[in-house]
Amino acid sequence: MSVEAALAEAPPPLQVSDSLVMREERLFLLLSIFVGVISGLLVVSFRMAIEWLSILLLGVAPAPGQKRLFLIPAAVGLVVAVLTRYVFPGVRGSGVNQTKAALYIHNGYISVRTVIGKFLLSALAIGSGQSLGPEDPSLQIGAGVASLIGRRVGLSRARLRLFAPVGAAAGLAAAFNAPISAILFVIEEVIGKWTAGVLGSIVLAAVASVAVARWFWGAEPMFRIPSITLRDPRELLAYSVLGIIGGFASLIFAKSLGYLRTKLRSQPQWRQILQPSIAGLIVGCIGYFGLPEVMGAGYGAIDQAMHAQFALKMLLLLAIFKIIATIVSFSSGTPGGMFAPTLFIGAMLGGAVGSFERIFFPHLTGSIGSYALVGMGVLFAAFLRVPLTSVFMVLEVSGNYSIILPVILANTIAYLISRSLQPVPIFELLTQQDGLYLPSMEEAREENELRLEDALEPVNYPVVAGSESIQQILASPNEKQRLLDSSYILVQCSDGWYTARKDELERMISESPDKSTAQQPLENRLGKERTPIVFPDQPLANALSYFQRWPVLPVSNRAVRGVLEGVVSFDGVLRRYQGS
Amino acid sequence: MAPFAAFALFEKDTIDAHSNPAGIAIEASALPPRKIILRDSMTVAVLVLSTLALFAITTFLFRSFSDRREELGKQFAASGHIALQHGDAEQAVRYLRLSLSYAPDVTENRLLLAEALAQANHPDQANGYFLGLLDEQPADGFLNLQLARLARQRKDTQSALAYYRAAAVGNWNGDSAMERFHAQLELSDYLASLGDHGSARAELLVAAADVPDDATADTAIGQRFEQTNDLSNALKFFKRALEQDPKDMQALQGARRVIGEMGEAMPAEGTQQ
Repeated sequence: MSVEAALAEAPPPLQVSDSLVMREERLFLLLSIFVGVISGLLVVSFRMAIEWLSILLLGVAPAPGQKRLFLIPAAVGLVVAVLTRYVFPGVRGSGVNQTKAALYIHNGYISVRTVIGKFLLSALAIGSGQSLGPEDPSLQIGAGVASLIGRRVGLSRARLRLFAPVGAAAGLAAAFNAPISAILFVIEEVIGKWTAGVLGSIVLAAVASVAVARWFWGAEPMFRIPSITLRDPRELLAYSVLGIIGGFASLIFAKSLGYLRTKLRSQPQWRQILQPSIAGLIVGCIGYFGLPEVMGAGYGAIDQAMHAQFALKMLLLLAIFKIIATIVSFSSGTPGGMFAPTLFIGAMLGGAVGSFERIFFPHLTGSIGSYALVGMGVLFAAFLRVPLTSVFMVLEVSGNYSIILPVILANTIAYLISRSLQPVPIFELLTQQDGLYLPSMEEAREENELRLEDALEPVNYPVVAGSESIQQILASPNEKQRLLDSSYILVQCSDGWYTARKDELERMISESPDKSTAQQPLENRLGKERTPIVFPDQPLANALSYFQRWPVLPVSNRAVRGVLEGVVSFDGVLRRYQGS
Repeated sequence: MAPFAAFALFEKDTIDAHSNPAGIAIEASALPPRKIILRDSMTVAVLVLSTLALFAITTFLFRSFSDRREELGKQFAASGHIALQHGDAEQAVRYLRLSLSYAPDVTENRLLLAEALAQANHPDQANGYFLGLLDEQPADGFLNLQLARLARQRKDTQSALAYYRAAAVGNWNGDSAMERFHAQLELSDYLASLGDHGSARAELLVAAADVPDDATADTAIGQRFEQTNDLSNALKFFKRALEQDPKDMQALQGARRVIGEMGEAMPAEGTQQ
């Protein structure tokens, strides 16, 4: 059977009524609130589970020299590895790339098994002291909740695909107690662009989940630091130095992680099962021999760094060993996130720069807490490559807006260093190692999209007023000849433009035998259909769908109604795409 | 997959949606409007019930979790308090940090930790904590006084003076008039130690204006006037102290000393005249 015949026999395209479209849109918004609330509840439970497990496994007062510090992470690591291998194979890694994969590859599908596995195994791993964080798993748990609800309700594929990021924003917002950062992160790193269709749902879900989280945890920001006043502008130099240090530290972190993860993933299966256990042993040894602060998410130590509780040497040691601990924990395939370790390393580096300043430049008045706070944002911007999110994250987790100037400066410096020395962002690197080809959001943000103005051609077609009749238009023999020589005629009607083909004009001439018909205004005879109104700044791709009906599109001026900037044609657009 | 087939109960694959990539799920579009409304209402009802159930479970677990954390927080705070009483500031710091990791919102423990840090000779760390607390209670006299002492330790005169002045007019628990008076006296002592006797005397005069009805306070201010060589004011306050407590030996000795000094000074003045 030929293709044409198959198409002829195929059932007609599904006719979907407007009311059903409206119903799904409303349902989508309503479900977003449910996704937010349920994700918030699950994230609260997840955080509780981590803390409970931490108390149960590591004791109420972990301190160097306690044998359980190196025994427990190793033993739990083995359990986690076996469960990951045989029961929950989809829970490896942080959760961010898995959510992106759900969006771009699996049509928004995240299995319930993955959600349950992520919850249990991440809580076990982080609670036992592996150097990982709860935020990225929370993001995936939220996305999984959204996916489950979307499937049960029977959302369309397009909606289902968009629903996973909605849940992701909810999960992350609850984990960070920071709705703006979560929304920005999902837009910067998961979706890649601002989409009006999904933004409302993301905001609703994020706000709902944060409301739930605050119901339980309270409205206090995650970290409390003294208010900061930038008294001496020279301090910006110190913050710039912090940006440079953070940029290079993130580079070392990312390169080492990329290298070790590749090496460990190339090992035989039986060795891979042992990797989380060995990682646990290494992290446990770091804790046993003096630095239990690097174990787990490390929020307590971040808070201490903010309150200048560590000396310079200790801050540097914590930063270095946290990098090591996180690299081994994450590379081993243990489920858990990288957000909290990134914040930890940044806070320690920031605190170190602040302490250095306090010792060697005592006349500068910046508090160590402010440097620790800025350091968190610096590493977030440079390592995760989300510059906008990093700024808002610092503001939201501290509830302190006085720090904005140093944050922007230091984050930008760190981001630029990281970008220039490590062209592939960490999430993309991990995706490539996993054998997936997900879109790079950093590249997508910087893609130079072609617009209609790039394919604009001068108006070389005759333009006639729609208010004139055929008789008036054809009164002059020269004008008649000009119209009949042209392939298209642009008719300016009172309610828009109409691109008439030559054969349409000829038909109208032939169908005007009597005087009354010939005197009718042209726009009345063209019917109600009009050429779509397009403007020069609109994406060029938008025009493609119109060319089947309208071979030439008049491009209107946004300021003066009725004035044309030019026209675009199918051939012109193709030529522009082909770069000629 | 086979041993964990139970998961399949929760799963619903996306076949419906796959068959209609662009628009509404076929399942819904195939139903009459009344059934769609009924189905959506059922969906919302199920979601509401599920959410409520999850909320109840989470609340129950959270309460139990919070109680345990609070208990641990109290336990470590008590240990920290005992360690501080026994002069073991380092151990107190450890316990109080643990206490705050379980109950971070207890202001008394944060204050205690800041004090322990100061006692354990970690002035920068104590300063950080006190500043954090001051952010929440900027008019607190105790916090300002502690910060003044720490600023004094690190020879930050400007900050020390600002904190002392804030302490002298700040809010205090207990006998606030007496606490303010002592803060004012400490400020005067600090200025005197810097060699700024004029300012020290000015602060003493401010303190003298609000001195509480207490013999010890009068004696203390009398002694300071004596140190700044303001003998008439010194005698005035020693006398006031003796009126309130005639057996106040320090006031008695001070008064004798000042009268003696004044007696020696008067002939000298007469000679000069």
